[in-house]
Order: sequence, then structure tokens, then C-alpha cells
Amino acid sequence: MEPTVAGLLQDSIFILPELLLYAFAFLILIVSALLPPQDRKMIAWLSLVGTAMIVPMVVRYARQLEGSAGSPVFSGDVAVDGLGFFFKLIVLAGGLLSIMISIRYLDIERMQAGEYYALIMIATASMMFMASSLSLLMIFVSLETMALSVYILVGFLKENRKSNEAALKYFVLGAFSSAIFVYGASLVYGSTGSLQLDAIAKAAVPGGEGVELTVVGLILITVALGFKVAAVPFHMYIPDAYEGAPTAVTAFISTASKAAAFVVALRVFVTGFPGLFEYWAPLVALLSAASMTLGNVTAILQDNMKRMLAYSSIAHAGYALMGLLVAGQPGAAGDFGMKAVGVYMMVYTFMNIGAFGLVIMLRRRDLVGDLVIDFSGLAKRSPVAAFTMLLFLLSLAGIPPLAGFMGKWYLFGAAVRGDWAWLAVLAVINSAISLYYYLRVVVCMYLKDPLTDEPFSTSLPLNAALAIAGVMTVLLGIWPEHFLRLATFSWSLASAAGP
Amino acid sequence: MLFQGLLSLIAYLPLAGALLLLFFPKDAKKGIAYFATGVAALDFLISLPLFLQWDSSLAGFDERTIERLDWIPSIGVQYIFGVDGISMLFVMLTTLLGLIAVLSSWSAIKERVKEYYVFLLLLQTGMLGVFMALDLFLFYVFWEVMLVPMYFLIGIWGGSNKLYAAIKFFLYTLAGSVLMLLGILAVYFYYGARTGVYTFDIALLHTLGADPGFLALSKWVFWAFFIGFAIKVPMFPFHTWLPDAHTEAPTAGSVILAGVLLKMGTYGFVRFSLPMMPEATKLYAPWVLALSVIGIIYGALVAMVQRDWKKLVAYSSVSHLGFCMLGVFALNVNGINGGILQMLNHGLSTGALFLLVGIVYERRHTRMIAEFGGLSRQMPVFATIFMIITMSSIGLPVLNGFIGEFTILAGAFLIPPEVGISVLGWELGGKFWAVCGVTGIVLGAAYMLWLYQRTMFGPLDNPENQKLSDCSGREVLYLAPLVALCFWIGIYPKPLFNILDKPVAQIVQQLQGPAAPTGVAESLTPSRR
Repeated sequence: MEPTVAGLLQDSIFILPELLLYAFAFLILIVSALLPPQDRKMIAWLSLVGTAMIVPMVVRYARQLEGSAGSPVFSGDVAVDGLGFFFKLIVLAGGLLSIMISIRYLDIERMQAGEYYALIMIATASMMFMASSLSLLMIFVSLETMALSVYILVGFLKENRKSNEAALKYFVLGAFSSAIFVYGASLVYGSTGSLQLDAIAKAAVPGGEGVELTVVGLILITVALGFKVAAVPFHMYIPDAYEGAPTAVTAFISTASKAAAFVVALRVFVTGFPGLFEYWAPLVALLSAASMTLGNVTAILQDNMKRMLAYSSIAHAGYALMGLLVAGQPGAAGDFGMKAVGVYMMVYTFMNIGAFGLVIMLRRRDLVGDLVIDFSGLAKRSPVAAFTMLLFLLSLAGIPPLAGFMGKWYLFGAAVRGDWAWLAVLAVINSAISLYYYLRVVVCMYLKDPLTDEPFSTSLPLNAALAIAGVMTVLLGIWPEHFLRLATFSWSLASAAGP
Repeated sequence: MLFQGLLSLIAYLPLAGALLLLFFPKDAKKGIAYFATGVAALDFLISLPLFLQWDSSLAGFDERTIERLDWIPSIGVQYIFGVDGISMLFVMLTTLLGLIAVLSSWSAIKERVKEYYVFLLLLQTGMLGVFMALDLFLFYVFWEVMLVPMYFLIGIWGGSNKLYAAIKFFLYTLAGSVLMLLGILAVYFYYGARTGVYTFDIALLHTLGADPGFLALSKWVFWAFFIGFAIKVPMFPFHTWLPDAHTEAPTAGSVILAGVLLKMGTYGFVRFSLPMMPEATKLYAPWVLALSVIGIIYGALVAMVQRDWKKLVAYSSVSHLGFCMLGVFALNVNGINGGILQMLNHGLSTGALFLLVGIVYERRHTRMIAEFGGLSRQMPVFATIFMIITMSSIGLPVLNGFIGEFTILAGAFLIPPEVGISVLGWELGGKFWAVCGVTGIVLGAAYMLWLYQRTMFGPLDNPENQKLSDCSGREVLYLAPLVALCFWIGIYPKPLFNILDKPVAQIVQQLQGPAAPTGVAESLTPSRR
């Protein structure tokens, strides 16, 4: 079917939220150029409102699906389905919370600038595209748009050497992985004759014609996605990038961008290469095992909070890869794996942004506040802040009844259900290890004396972001039913029975 | 006056109390302590009807108290609270020791008082939830959530090496419980795939015991549960967290740890492993029995050489809990009855021992046995109570320890020969396990009496000790119920056995399969003794 102009216009309605977000980002750029520097903070609020407006739109679209699978638009390149909408909401939540925690951070760094917010919005919109991409080309374009904005954000502290270094590393390795992705995609295109995932799925079956080439392409794509989700051994740049980047940006890339990378991985592996499961499954299993083990063990050694959370995020990517692995299996197990990844990304977004929010809260211009010992005596200085951090840390460690436990329940459940017993055992042992370094922060907060008595100042949006993240972290643990149904209603059509 | 919702009320009252405490001003230390005591006392009072109005003809869960709500329907999690005879007794133990723990903290805790009582009350809710939950998911949530307040209790108010002890405690128990989580998931998915119903309802999951298809999987699941429970018990060789945690914890923490927390492990075996995986349990019973008797003897031997009073008591716990496990894995009515009773006994007597150490520690700030001697002259009331508890701990007749140990040994003797060990072609069977158990009793008498002799008798030559004051009224008040219960169980244990008989008989029946009769074990039902 040849696309017509009228058809394209008709289809555009489905990508309206993304388009509006892009438009808003450019509007912000223009406005910020017109505003005098002392009024720049207004832009932050403006971008917050703009991004927030997109949320009800996406919800509305998702509601219109009413549990039906939804048919793709733009000749099958863009999905209109529950999986996509669910992840769009996750990245929007990540983007919104990141903007909220940025305002205070940029004040401290005296870097209040319109470009910053515009870039976050562009990146968010690109992630939303990633969530609904159904062809390798579409994936590449949205991935690159996202990545380019993020490179700039990571290096946003121009005067800061670490920030510059982080951006350079992030950029070089990011570009490298993008190139690998394109190379893999071209091989797949050469052997299957298509860039669209469902067409690839038909051609990419064991014993099919030219399948060897497809497998090579698949391996390259796996490597590239390994970079994007920050899996070991493609994680080398992560600690430096996370440490050097502005903390709010670290929060953003460790949650929203990770969620977007995972939904892309779900699409590629589950929609595109289910036939070659036996080829990619061992790879993903190894990536998962290596990520969680190395991430957790290395996190123990860190004294810098951001580096620690960087390694912890590598470990969490390892857990989530288990879900991806099982998602590729047929039947109910596959559905469960998909759901596990979705639920985990939702949960992780809130608790991780929350943890980074607290790091920002402690930051002052002269005292960096990024070290674990900077949390000393927080319980005495501010019991509420300490308790909030405690919630995030325990949730990250997977202690019930907090959100992180629900997420881990799903992922471990997926591993058990998919008969990956060794991986499941490794994962639970790892989650016990992870407790150790999360507790180090708790020890500082509750058992040590404060290093300084200075009251720390916070701001309304930061408090609000922490409150939202905290409430969600508790709510997703104690009363998750509503959110689980959100994750379930659309993409478990295959098996109505069972979780 | 048993009513629906009573269990939730008992479980969440401490939580509500903890939340209210948050609004107290920090410096109102007295008010905080009184309020926490009031909450704990009220909790104990409202739990009393459970015991007083118990219908001992019940084999299963008391329908009058069962609460059932949908919690997370999309994965089949329900909120089910209920008690049978076994868990009811543990609930009583928890509310009683909870109250005593709060009472014992009045003078011991001087810093961060508010947080202390908040954590103590939170802990209480967590423990009660574990004993009441009849949904595996819910059970697991309480099982883990309870670790957090305990971690803080040890970490903030503990002794000199508190950080190490607290982290070790948390990591050890968490490592065990996450493995158990895998077991839970495996059971959940197996049951779901088999019946099409995805549920964590324990009553339904128990039916897996009669499912021959479950056998292969249950051989793995048994060990997953085993590690979770065995670390909590703790069984040799998973016990190394215990001496640290018990020794470093503040007195109330040690009381709760020894009195209630350890029982969760043994309770877990009785509630889950035995009925749900009878075949695997029978298959692996010799291994568990072997670890139990190693624990009994090893714990006792190590206790004997301790120079620290509290550490000695801590190691004695390893030995006593080994005894409980010996009873439970005898897998007959006597053994399980005795095992459960001994868990209660241990809660009472070791709880009291930790309280006694705490009393001395509060006055002298040392626990080294060598520092003491001749205390009986200075502290006669203390010495008397300590004597009674010591006798209870070593199993002197007329006191509770004897009843428990006797029943366990009676059960151990009945362990069938194929579970025993043969030496030179001689089938020792159950006698072997019983003999090992008795060795533990002898050693137990040795280290306890030696401890008593070294601390209470001899010359009162340390000038520091000559100024010691005897137990205060409050201290006698919170020790008195424990002493009274020791005598009561020792003299007239029938009511307890009446409560335990039916549920235990049901577990034994589940173990032996639906068709088989309850067998020889019945012939020595202790309640008829």
C-alpha cells in the first residue's frame, strides 16, 4: 500500500503528543532567547507545564484502545498499542520528575538556561517515539535524536571538567554503539529484505535462507542495545558519565532513557526475532548475569553516591534483562516476561529518580554533597528527608512492601516461570548483596553524626518531585493492583487467564 | 468475644501506636515510654481472648477469626489472616514478650527514645503478621519487613560492634529469604499451571502435598524453603549471625530475637515445609536431623567456653533450637508437639535469661563472666529468679523445659529405623538421635550451672559488685509472668497440648498421606500422660 498524503496526515493524529512536545521544546528555545536572564526560571515552569499537558493526551489515547491490540500506522512503522503507551507514560513521568528536580539543581550550578529544558523535552519526545517504533530505521532515528540531546545534557556544565569528560565518553561510545546498530540492521535488511520487525520475524527463522547473516546482524544489534541499556561488558562509560553529568540529567538518563532502551529491546527481540530465540537467549542471559553480578559487586566499593547509583543501575539493568529474556519465550511465560520488564521500569523510574533527588537536595555550591558520607546524620538534620531516602534505598534493595519488591517479584517470577533457575538464583543472591551498599547509606543517615549543621535549602518543585516519587514508591508496593492492571490490560491479550 | 477483624486489630495496633508516637515531642521520654507500654499492654490484653476462648477441637484454622480480602487480584494475592492452635500460641508469645520487651527498655534506653519505641512497635506488627498470614505472599512481606526495624534496633542501640552485627543479621536473613522467595514462586507457578488458579492461599497450596507430580519440583523447593527457615532458626552451619546479633542487640532486641524471631524459622517448617512437601521432607529428614544434632552439641560446646554472659546465652539458643528442630523433624505427633512446646519454652526461658543479663549489664556495663561472682549475696531476688530460669533452661522436672525435652525425646525415639544411622550393621534408628539429643541436655546443664556458679556464688570480692542493687519492682514485674509460665507449663501442660494436639495430628496425617492411619506415634500422646 503506497502511503498517500491524506493517509499520512490521518496517521499523524497518533503521534500528536510527540509532535506537540517537540513543538513546545522549540517554543521554549525561542522564548528563552527573548527573556532576560533573571527571568529564565520561568522557562522551567513553562516546560514543566508543557510536558505535563502531554500526559493526559497519552492517557486518552491509551484509553481509546480499550484493551484491543491496535493497528500500527505509517505503513506499519509506528505502533499504536498498550506496550507503547505504557512506556510513553513511564518516560513522560521520568521527564517530568527530572525537570522538577532540575530547577533547583541548575540554580545551584547557576546554569539556568532554556536549552536545558528544551533538550529534556526533545529527548523525552524521542523516547516516546522509541516506545512505538516498529522498524529498525524508525528505531535508529528516534534513538539518535534522543542520544544527541542527552550528549549535550551530560556535558551541560561547561566549566566542569568531569562533566565535559562524561559527555565526551558518552558521545564517543554512544556513536560507536549507534554505528554497530546500523551495521547490524543493514545485515538484517540484506538477508531478510525488510526493516520492519514483523516482516523480519517471518524471514528470520532457524534454517531459513541466509539466516546466518541475520544472526550476525542480530548479534551486532544485541551488542548495540547492550550499550544502550548499560549492560556489562558494555558499561564502561556508565560510571563516568553518571558521575560527571549534572545530577538531574543522571536521574533522567538512568530511568527514562533506560526504559526507552528496554522497550526498544522488547520490540526488537520479541517482535523481530522470536524465531531466533535460541540464538539471542544465551547472549541476553550472559549479559544479564554479568551485569547484575559486576554491577552489584563494584557498587560496594564506591564512595561517591552517583557512582554507586551508576553501578546499581547497571545491576538493575541486569535484573530487567531477565524479563527481556523470558519475554521472548512463547505463550504465557513470554507475556509474563513482558509485563515484568514493564512493571520494573515503572517502579525503577520512581525510586531511582527519588534517590537522585535526595542527592540534589544535599548539594550546595561549595560542598558538592555527592559522597556517601555527605549523608551522615541526615536523620538528625531532617528526619523526613532521611526517611524518604530510606524508602528509596529499601525499595531499590527490593524490600517489601515497597515498589522495588513488586518489580523484583515480577522479574524473579519471570525467571522461575521461564525455567531459568540458575539465573533466578544468581539474581536473588545479587539482590541480597545489593542490600549491603544501600545499607551503607542508611548507616550514614541514621547512625553517624552530621558533618555540618548548616540547614539545607530545598525548593518546592524538588519537594514535590520527591513527594511524588515517594508516594509512588509506597503505593506501587502496598496497593499496586491499579498499576499492574495498567501494565496488563493491553498487551496480555494472548492469555487472558493467569498473571 | 472472638470476632472477625480481631487478628488485624492485634497485628496493627502496634503499628498505629508507632505512628502516633511520631507526633510526640522528642524530649517527652517518659511519656513516650508510657505510651508504648500502654500500646503493648493493650495489644496483649486484646490477644488474650484468643487463648482463653480457644476451641481446642479445631484441627484447622479458626473460622471465627479468618479474614480474607482481595489484595492484588491480578496476581492472585489475597490478604488472609487466620490462626490455628499452633500459630495462636505464637501470637500469644509475641504479644507477651512484646510487652515485656517494652517494659524492660524504660531505663535501658536513654538516647533516641522515640525512634526506639517506634521501631519496637513496628517490629511487633511485623512478627504478628508472620504468624497470622495465611497467604504466602503476605507471609513473605511480613517476613522481610520485620528485618528493617530489627536492623535499626541492633544498629542504633546495640553494643560496641553493633554495625557489623546489624548488617550481618540483615544480609544473612535476607539472603535466606530471597532464596525462599524463589521457592514460593516455583510453588505458585506450578500450582497455577496445574489448576489454572494462580494463588498464594496456603490452604490451597497445602493440597500439593498429595500431588505426586509435585514431587520432583518439591525436592528443590524444599531446599529453597529450608535455607530461608534454617538461617532464621538458626541451624548449624547457618548460625553465625546469631551470636553477633544477640550479643550486640539491646536487651529488648535480644529478647525479641531469641523469643520470637527464631521461632519464625521453626514455625515456617511446621507450617509450610511439612504439609506442603511431605515426600521431600521425609526424604531429606535425616539430613536435617543430622544438622539439628550437630547444632545441639556444637552450640552447647561453644556456649561452654564463652567468657561473655550474653554470648553464652546466645549460643545456648543454637543448641535449644536444634532441639526444637529435632522434634519437628521426628515427623511424628510427639516430636512436633514437643518441638512446638519447646519453642514456646525457649521463648520464655531464654527471653528471661536475656532480661537478666540486661539487668546486670545496665548496672555494671560489662557482661564478662569473670567480672562477677557472689552476686547472690548482693542480689538475692535476682539470684532466685535466675536460678529458676536456669533450671527451666536445663530441663529440670516441674519446670517447662523438662516437658518440652521429654516430649521431643519421646518423639525422637519413634523415628523409624530407616531414618536412623546404622553402626556395624546395627540399626540404631531413632535411638541414635535421642542419644545425641540427651548429650545436649547434659552439656546444657553443665554450661548453665557453671555460669550460675561463676556469677552467683563464690566470694563477692569485686568492689564494683558490692554496690549493686537488687531487682527493682518493675524488673520483678516483668520477670514474674515468665517465671509463673515456666512453672505452669512445667506442672500442668495439658491445656497447651490440648490446643496443639489436633493441628499437629493433622500435619502428621498430611505427612503420612491421606490413606494411612496416624500410626504408632499416637500411642504416646503426651496429653494422656
